[in-house]
Amino acid sequence: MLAISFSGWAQCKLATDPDPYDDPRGVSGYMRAYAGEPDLDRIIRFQDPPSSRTLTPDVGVVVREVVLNGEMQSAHPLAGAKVELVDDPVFEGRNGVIAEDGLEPIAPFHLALRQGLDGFSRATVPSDPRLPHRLREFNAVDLQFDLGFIERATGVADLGAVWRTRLGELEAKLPDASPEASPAIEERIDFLKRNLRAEGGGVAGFFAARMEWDYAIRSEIREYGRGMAALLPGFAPTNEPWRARFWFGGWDADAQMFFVSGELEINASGISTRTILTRRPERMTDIAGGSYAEI
Amino acid sequence: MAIDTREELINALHVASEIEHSLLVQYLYAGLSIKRGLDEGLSTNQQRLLRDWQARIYQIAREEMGHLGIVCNLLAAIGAAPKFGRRFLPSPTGYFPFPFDLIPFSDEALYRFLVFELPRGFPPPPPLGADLSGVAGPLVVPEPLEYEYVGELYAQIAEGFQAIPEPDLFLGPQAAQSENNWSDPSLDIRPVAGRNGALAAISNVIEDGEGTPQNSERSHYAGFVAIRQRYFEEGRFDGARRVPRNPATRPSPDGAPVNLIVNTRSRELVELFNASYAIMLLMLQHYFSIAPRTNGEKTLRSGLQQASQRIMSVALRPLAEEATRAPLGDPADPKRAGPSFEIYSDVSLSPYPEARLPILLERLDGLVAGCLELGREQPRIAAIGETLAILRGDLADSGRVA
Repeated sequence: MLAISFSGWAQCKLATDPDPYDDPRGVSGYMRAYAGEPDLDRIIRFQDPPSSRTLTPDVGVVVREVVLNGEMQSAHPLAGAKVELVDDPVFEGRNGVIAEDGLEPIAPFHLALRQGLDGFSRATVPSDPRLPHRLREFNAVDLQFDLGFIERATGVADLGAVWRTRLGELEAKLPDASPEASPAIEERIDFLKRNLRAEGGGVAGFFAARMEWDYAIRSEIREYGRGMAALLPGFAPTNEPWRARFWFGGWDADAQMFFVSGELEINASGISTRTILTRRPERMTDIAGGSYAEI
Repeated sequence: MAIDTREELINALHVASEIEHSLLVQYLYAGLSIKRGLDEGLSTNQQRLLRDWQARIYQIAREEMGHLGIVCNLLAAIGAAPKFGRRFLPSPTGYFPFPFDLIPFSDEALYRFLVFELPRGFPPPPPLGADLSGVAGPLVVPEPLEYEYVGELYAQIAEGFQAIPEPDLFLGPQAAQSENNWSDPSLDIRPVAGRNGALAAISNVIEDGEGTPQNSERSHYAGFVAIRQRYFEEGRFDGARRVPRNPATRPSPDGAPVNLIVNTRSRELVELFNASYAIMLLMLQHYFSIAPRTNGEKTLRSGLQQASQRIMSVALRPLAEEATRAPLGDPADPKRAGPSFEIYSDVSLSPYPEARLPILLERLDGLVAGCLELGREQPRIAAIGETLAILRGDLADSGRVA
C-alpha cells in the first residue's frame, strides 16, 4: 500500500448563517467580502487562489511524506507535489438543509496530485445519485474541538495573538491607504476588534475546531502529462477504491483560510470508511460563546 | 379602554402580532432594496456603508421576528392561537400617522422607521429631506419606557395581564411556547410563565424598540438615527435598486394603489417568493399550535422549527434578492420588481391535526415545482427548488415519526 500524507493552508470565501449559503457579499453572517473585494464564491482552494487578503498565510497543500508498504520514501517523485481539489468543490451544507454546520459534505470531491505538468486524480462517486443522498453520504465523520491538536499541526497556539498582530499592521497601513482601499481595511479592522473584544475571542473560537472526512474514492483515474508513470514509478494502482482521510481545522475567519491535513491510501485492501455524522447536538453559536451573526 | 377580559387581551395581542409582522416586512423590503455591487455605481465607501446599514436593518427585522415570537408565547400562555396573518400592504394602521407601505431604502423609509420606533417623550424626527447637521443622536432615553405610538397598546396589554386573576388567565400549555433555541439566539424569544413572566416579556419588547439608559445604542430607534445621520452626511446618495413602492402581483383587494409587476417572468418569480413566505408563516402557525405530548410530536415540532428558519435563508431571501433584480415590466426599462410580501389568503391552519402536514407538504411541492420550472432559465432558482425539495423530504420524515 502507498500512503501519501499531505498538509497546508487552504482558502474558502463563503457566506455564513443566516445569510443564504450562496450570498455573494455576506451581510448578517460573520463572513463578508469587504468593500471592493471580489464576491464570495464558496470554492475550496488548496492552491493559487485568484485573490487573498494581506498578512495571511500562503495557500498551498503539498505532499509531505510518502510511505510504501511501511517504508518511508525519502526521494519519491511525489515529495512536495501539489495537492488540489479540482472542479470547484464547495461545502454543501445549504444553510443546514443538507448538513448542519461542521458536518458539510465536500462536493464534488476530486483529488489531484501534480508535480509540474505531471499528475493524476480520482474522485468520489455517489452510490445513490438522488438528492440528498448523493451529498449526505459524504458528510463529515467527526467534529472535534481541540486547540492543542490544532497548535501541533499549525504551529499557532493563539489565533487571538495572530489577530492582534495583524490588527496593529492594518492600523499602521490605514493612513497611507487610498480612498478606494480604505473602506475594506476599516471593515477588517472592525472585524478584528469586535472579535478580540468578544467573549472567548468571538469567531476566533472556531480555530480549535476540526472537521474530519473519510472518503472512498472510486472514479476512473485521470492522468495529466506523463501521469502515474512519472509520479508512481514501479507502482501499479489496482482498480480498488482509494481512501482519503483528512481534516480541515484551524479556521481563521479573517484570512478566510483553514489548515488541511490528511492521507491518501492507494492499494489498501478491504477499506471500510467511518460512519458519517448526520446530527450535531450543539449549535455553533453555543460553541462560539454566543451569537455570532453580528460579530 | 382598559383590558380586563381574556377576549380583549387576545384581540390586543393579535393587533400587536399584526403590527410587529407589518413592521418587520417593511424593514426587510427596505433592506432588500439596497444596492450591493460596485457594478451598481457605488464607490467602495458607499458599498461598505450600505452593507453595514443593510446588516443593521436585517438585525432589527430579526428582533421584530423575536417580538412576534414573544407575542405568540403570550397568546399560548393564555390558551389562544397565534396570529400570522396581516392586512394587505399598503394599509392604514390606526397607530401611526401614515399607512404601512413597502418603500425602498431612502430618507423617507428611514424617517418612517424612526417614527415607528419613537420613544415616548422624544420629539418627532426631522422631516423628510431636512438638514441634519448638528442633530444629536439619542443616547439618553427618558422614562417611562414606552413607544410613542404602539406603547399605549403594549401598556394596555400589560394592564390586562395584571387585571385578570392569574389563576384564571394562564390556561395554555407551557409546552406550546417557544424556547430561545432558534439558530439565531439574538431573537431572544422568552417563554412566559405566569404574570411576572408576561410583564417581563412585554418590557423586553418595548426596550428593544426604544432602548434603556443602559443599552440605548442598541435600540432600534438609535440604530435608525445613526443610519439616517450618516446617510445625510454622505449626501443621501442613491443607495437603492430601482424597486417601486408597494409592488404587487395583482391588484389590491381594497383598491389601494400598488405597482403591478407586469413582466410575466418577474411576476412568476415574485409569486414564488410570496408562496415561500406564506409557507413559512404556515410552518410557524403549525409550530406554535403543537404542545407536544409524545416524542413523535416533539420531532414534528422540531422539524417545523428547523424548516421555518431554514426556508428563510434558502428561499425567502434569495428569491427576494432575485426579485430586486428582475424587471418590473419591459426588461429594457431600469425599473425593477421587488418582493411584494403579499399574502393571498388568510394564514389558516387546518382544525384537523392529521391534515396539517399533508397540506403543508402539498404547498411545498407546488413551490418546488414552480422553482424548478422557472429555474430552467435561472440556475439560482433551480438550486432553490432543489434545496426546498430536500427540506420538504426531511419535514415529511419528521411527520412520519409523529
